[in-house]
Amino acid sequence: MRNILVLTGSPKVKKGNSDSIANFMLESFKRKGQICKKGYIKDIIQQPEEMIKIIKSADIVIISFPVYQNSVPSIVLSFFEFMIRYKSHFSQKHRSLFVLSNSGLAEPKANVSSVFQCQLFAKSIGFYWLGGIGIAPGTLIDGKKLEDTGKTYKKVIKALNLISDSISKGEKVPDHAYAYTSKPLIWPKMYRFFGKLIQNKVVKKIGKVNYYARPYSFKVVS
Amino acid sequence: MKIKYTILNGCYDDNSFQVNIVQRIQKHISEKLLEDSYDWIDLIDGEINPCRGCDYCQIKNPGICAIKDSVDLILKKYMSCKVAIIITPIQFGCCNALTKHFIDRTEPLFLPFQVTKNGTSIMKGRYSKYPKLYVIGIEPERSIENRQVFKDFIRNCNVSAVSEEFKVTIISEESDFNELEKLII
Repeated sequence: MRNILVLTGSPKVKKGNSDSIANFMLESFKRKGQICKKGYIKDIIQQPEEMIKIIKSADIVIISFPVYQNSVPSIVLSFFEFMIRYKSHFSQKHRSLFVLSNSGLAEPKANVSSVFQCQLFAKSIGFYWLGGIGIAPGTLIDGKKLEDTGKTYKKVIKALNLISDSISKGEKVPDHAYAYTSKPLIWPKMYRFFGKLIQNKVVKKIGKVNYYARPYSFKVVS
Repeated sequence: MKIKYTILNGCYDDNSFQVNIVQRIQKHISEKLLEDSYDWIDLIDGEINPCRGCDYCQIKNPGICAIKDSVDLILKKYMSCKVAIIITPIQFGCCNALTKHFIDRTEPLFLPFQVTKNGTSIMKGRYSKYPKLYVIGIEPERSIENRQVFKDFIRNCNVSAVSEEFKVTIISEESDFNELEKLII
């Protein structure tokens, strides 16, 4: 039996889509009889001693995070920097890393850089790289339980179940787990169209002038 | 004179290699540019908090961040210059956390919906014009994968996607300083 640590890497902490994904994984591991703990990167980076203790007790670390500016959010990078600084604390035991990246864009390639960055971090810290999955888009989860999101995330649920199953058994994550999320969960053109449509409500509420405000506009003085 | 260049140095001051490279860049810039034509900002000297992902800058008070720290002034300087230069060490194929705090906090510069550019979704710019963006990555190990992931990350992030022109230069040692000549004229 191995200790699994599931971390949410979103600055939104409990309200975000990354946390919905993390919670699904946590429950999935628990159902398979694994010893699981959950934590929030935003909170644990405030307590270095506690953080070292938590990571030291884990055999497998799972991180769920949103993509910010085509990469991992800065709080996840702060966490990585911290881990590298205390690398010697984590060298006594074999540890593994798996990541769950979710993007606000509908194209799966929007998760590529962030997953590679985590792989490079795993290499730097000496963790075994179990892999990483990209969910595009993650925004339609809308902070709900993944099971309550209807048809859209059915494939994601299948993929996550396969991932937790293989990790629990100590096996390699099968290729078809990645295949479930290799295509957009919604047609990108439709996603952009409805995204714009939803924004019309905000425009009506706050007014066009406020919505399109340009507070940093400057007149060029020659 | 209007500030032409805004230079954002995201390096920490506890790494002698990075400090040395940054000092060289600073010297190069001071020799090439008039003193009042550029603004040098060391991010480490400011208060740069991470983005909370609260969407305040999108739907509550569009274009303005909810966090009151040094970023507001930096964004003003960023948007008022012609060329912005970001200097950062490269780690795990990314910039460091300090630089990423700033990059994530450029969210108020975008509208909360997407458009396509070269067949890929990007966030729609809030402004009609953005400065040219040159990124200088410091990477002494010459790791091909580290450099490639960094280039892909920075090339496809929102700030570079909307910039008028975008270039990325990676510096490992002094001989690479010739590359700077191409950036700063």
